[in-house]
Amino acid sequence: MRWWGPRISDTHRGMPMIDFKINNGVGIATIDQPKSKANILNAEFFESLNLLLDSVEKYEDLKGLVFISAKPSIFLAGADLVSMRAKLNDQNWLGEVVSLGQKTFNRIEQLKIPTVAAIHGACLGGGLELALACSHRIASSDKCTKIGLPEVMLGILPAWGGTTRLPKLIGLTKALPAILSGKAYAPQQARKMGIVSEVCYKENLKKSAIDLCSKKRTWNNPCRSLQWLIAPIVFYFARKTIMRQTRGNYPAPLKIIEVVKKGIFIDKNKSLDLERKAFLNLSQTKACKNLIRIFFLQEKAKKGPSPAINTKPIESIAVIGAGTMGAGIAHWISSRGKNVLLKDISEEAVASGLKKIGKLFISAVLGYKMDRSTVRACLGKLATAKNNVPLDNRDLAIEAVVENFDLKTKVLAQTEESLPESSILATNTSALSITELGKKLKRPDKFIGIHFFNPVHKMKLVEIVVGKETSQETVSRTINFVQSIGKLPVVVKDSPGFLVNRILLPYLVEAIRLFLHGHSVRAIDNAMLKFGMPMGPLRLLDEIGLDVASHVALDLKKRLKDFKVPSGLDEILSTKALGKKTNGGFYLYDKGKSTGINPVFKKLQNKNPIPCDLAKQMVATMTEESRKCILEEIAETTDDIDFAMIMGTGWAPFRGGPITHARQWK
Amino acid sequence: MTNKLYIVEGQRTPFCKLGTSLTGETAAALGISAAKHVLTESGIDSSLIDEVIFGCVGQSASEMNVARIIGVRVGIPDHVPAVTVHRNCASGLESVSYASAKATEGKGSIFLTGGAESMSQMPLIYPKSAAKKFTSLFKSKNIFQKLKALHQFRVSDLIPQISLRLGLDDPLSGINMGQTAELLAREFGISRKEQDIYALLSHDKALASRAKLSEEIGAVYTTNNDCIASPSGRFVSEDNGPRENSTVEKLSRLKPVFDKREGTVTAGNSSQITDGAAALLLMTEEGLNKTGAQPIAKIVDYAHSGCAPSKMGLGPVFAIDKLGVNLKHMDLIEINEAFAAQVLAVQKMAKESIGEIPDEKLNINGGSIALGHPVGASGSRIILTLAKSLKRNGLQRGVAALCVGGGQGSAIHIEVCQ
Repeated sequence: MRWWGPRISDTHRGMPMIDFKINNGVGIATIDQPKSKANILNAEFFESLNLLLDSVEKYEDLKGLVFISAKPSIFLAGADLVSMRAKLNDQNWLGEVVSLGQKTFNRIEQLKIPTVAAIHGACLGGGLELALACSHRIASSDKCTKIGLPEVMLGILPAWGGTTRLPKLIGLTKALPAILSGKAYAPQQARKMGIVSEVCYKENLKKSAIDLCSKKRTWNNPCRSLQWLIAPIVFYFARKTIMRQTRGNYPAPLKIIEVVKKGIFIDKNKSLDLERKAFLNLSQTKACKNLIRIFFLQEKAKKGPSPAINTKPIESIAVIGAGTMGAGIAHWISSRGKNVLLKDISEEAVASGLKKIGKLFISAVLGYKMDRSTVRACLGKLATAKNNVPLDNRDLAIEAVVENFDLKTKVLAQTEESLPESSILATNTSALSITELGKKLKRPDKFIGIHFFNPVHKMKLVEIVVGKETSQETVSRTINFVQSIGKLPVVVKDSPGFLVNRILLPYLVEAIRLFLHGHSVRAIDNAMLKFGMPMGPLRLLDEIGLDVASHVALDLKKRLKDFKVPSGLDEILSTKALGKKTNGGFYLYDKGKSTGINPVFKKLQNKNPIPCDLAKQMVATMTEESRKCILEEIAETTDDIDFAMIMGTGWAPFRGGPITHARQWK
Repeated sequence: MTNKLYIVEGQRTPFCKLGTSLTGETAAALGISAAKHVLTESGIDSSLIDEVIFGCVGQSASEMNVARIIGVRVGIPDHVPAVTVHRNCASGLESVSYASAKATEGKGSIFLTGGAESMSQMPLIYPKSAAKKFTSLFKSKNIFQKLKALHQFRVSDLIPQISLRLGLDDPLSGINMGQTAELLAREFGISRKEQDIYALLSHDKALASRAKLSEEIGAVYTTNNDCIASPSGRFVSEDNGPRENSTVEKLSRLKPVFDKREGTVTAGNSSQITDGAAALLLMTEEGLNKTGAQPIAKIVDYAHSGCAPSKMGLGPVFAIDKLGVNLKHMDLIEINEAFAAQVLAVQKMAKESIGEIPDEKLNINGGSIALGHPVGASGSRIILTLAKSLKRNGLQRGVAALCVGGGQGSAIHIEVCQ
């Protein structure tokens, strides 16, 4: 081994961006961005890479070139989104960046020696595009290795050759779903798909990569050259699926299909041109801007402001109440490897809670989200109790009994008794006031609301509700905890309905009102589906249960001045068709599957509806309520409101949330 | 500061007869359930534990060192070591005496001990003749050799031996446990009727003590037989051994099991074959100071003693003798009921040697004849029940002893903390 050529380094204090060594005649390019946890494809990276390629092209005895990362869990995490976001309006700059990437990766592809991407850790977006330009790819079998092209989730497309090269490498039928879904694949999945040719232990990665250099270029399946035969069918169905899923609201997937469709029949450079044009085109759409903004909001929520407090992290948690919410919360926290105690008043209640938890774990195993031994470890650590036990070693207790003020205050007082002074006491309520609940407690400063949404394992958003007495330290510790279990926290003020329900309920009530005015169930739900909601409001009401929804609505009516509930609501409830749980609400259900529209409410409807823009009217109620939330300072920023609605209700992400939508679509 | 151990907390699973409610749970699963309840009830930070020690007699091949499995699964940190101990029927007591010895040496101040046994899941074993043939089958390299090896098998090779029954045969004396009880019955002149009356009393005491016993029981949430042993939504919280409406008349109708012609030992006056586990949290004074825990009782001393394998039932007499306690000063006495004849023989022999064991002090909540005898767990159970009974009745001192297959006795002396 010897140093060779100029030491490639960037301008930052002489620290090398790409370190180059020769090992047995094979060049090893170790990517290690200085002063950063991740490797990102920014301007300096391309500068160093091009310098490296200058030297490699001149050097004739080299047997191969291996790209490898020095970071513990990242190969290349993708493009530099921060600068991209800042210059999203600068088309020239964007064009140059795209061309620079394309040219650089073309240089890698055109090298006469074998090139290998030795992937350990995240290899996403631009990272994979670099790997695709190499002649071989090998991945470590480690858990942190994730390979994919997630550009579509940001409303753009892979424009550094990904859209062109992936179909060529693995074929249309596999490449198209990969690019369109933006999924990040685990190493074994990536190998099965053909994205990487080999998977090995991370300790052997470098050696295996060097060995790969002596191999010839991968053998191309000759059948693949015939793929244009089935191409029309593939594109037809891809387009159909996308239209069904997005209702044409998202321009990126459609553009991707268009580029791939043209790209496979033409010269690579022309295809790259198409990529670039499509990218510039997409980058100017509202959807792209909104999706990038949400990505950053999500990153912020994940990492958040890390408060500088020297308190013990929350590792051991007690969940009081083993009902649907309690079991769901206990399952989620325990699945993140924490110690959980599940407590209820009887063995029957605990057993039924445990059963729910078991089912969730089984589906996690069947869905390859967790492996068996991890699940068994989680279940082993999950303790139970049916009477008052000491909570001396619990850092946090989450009360999740039924929504009844008196019961909750009783349980909270009892729990506080057995909890050590330094621990946090939380309640999972969707409606009751934290300040009121905390009034009788001895340590109201250590009391907070943690509002998980149902089903807990699916809903990423968690509302952290701050009471009047809640201390800043409690808030910070709770944020850290929620982040540590992989949920996205949003801090809200203690107020009726908090944030998400406060904004959602007027919209649901408006849907009922429009229904009573005579608009059909299908018309109302389709209007919102077209708008971009994941589910129509009336179907959502069926899921929640009409009795539950009306209970919350009446509670809001009591506590908010100008909250109106339509007069027909009582009559709707009196029909006893309460939604999915009674096999009938606005829709009919058979064994949980929707079978049609329930005629039972028909007689409650007006005959002649006044025609109007249904979606506009329903969205307006949410916008209006969001405005009130800003005025009342329910959330800290408008970003929080948009983010909470998108993460908590699936509010059309490409529209950027209720407030952004109102601003953009004035 | 002495290094004596204190019992801080104890819990056991319900004891359920072979093939009933707890059949689906492995020994480790039962131990985990008991251990989890102990940790929860005590509220202790499990990283403070110095060692996990469990007794298990019929350890399953899929759960080697069952104590380690229990320790790691309940979330005790990986760095805490674990050992499974085996002193046959006294393994559950051995876990406590082993901890005691370690504490005396100064090697630890907090121990999680206990015993776990699934009698239902004790394996079936191929006979030796079959084992040889299997070996040659596995060694054979081609199809012809394989066929040849298969050809050697006879139907008799495939009839399994029941390891549970094998375990009850004593290779040293050449007779099984029931026959050792028959021997004592003959030698001490204990009639069938005396045994049946004793057995009935054990059931009656256990039934009368249901509520008290429930204090030491933590429910087992049973599991499904799937890849992650997911919770089934059912639970077991009561012993199912004690029989209501049993009478001496009914018991007298049962046929002797071990000596069909002249015997007196029946299924009714022997201990039941049962699944169960018990766990105890033990601490030295140092441990108590560290955690601020309140102890129930202090372990004053323990003793193990050997005796003739064919008269293993008398073991408790030798062990208590070695322990050197004055039985007059004992407020309660627990002698594990392997067989009614065996306990009665112990009483008779004790009266002539180490002192009387009065009926009213003996096994006041019933014994293994009613509750069952999961061999590895019983030692821990009688210590647990002794400590809780002393405390409940405002009494001071007690001794618990077991006879041990192979000719041994084990005894432990505890004193309630005020």
